[in-house]
Amino acid sequence: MKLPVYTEINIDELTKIDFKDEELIKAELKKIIKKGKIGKIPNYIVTHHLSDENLKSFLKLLQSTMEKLGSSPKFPYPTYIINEKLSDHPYFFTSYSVERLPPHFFKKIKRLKAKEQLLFTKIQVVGDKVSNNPLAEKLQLLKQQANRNRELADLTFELATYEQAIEEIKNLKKEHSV
Amino acid sequence: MKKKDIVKKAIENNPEDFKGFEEVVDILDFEDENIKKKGGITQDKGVDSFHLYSFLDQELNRLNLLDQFFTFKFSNIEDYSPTEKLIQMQSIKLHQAREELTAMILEDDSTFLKRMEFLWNSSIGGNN
Repeated sequence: MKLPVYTEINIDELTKIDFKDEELIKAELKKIIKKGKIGKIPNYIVTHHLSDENLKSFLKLLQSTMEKLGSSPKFPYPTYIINEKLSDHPYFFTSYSVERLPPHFFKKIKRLKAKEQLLFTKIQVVGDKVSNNPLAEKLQLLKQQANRNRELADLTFELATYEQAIEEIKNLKKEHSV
Repeated sequence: MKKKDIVKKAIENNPEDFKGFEEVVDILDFEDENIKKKGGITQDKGVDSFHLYSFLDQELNRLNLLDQFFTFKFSNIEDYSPTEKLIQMQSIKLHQAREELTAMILEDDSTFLKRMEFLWNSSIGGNN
């Protein structure tokens, strides 16, 4: 296994295929995901050369293929979509350029010493343990939980406002009665 | 006295103070030995090696935290989340607060009604 440093995933093969042929694209994407070890090491895909329409269908197909294969674009290692026009995406991490990627995974590859090799073996074991979780399901549940928490926060805010109003009215009444 | 000897003495006296810094101490040893053997080594090489070790260490910690989150903490959220009960409690309190506030506003001598009366009389009601 490779060290967890950024690796570029080449999608030049895809640009030769017509994006309307979804089955062919999906088959090619499966190969790319397995070869690029998406989710197992940090990756980035440069998509500057794709047109807006092709980018949209590429992301849609990549998402559905990854969901089928059960690999996550966020954990344990992120996969970034590099495009200067793409500011945000609900499923993938995005970046305007390679230089703007988080610097944590930019490291020089060197031959590992004994101590480093030991750490790396542990990393592999824990990384596999994380990817063995049903991540898509858990992230979905986490999203639902976040929405419920937001709902609770709204209710609490509304209640606090009413309680404050009640308190102020009571104080006013006291002042008038005195 | 050499730096290495000072560090060794300090480790012997207070080993707990050096917890987490074993790798730095190793680099000191490593550099000294190599300088003797090869007649000099650039300081960058030691630092570079430490960078990679530190990165792998951080990475292991990050993955351990992720693992803990997705196994222990997540199952707690899933099985024992207090959010639903809190939402129910807050909804009941909110309902009561609304009723209380409405009753206060609708009292005959309430400030709200007085202000409304003043507005009515000064604009629409006053003209009639």
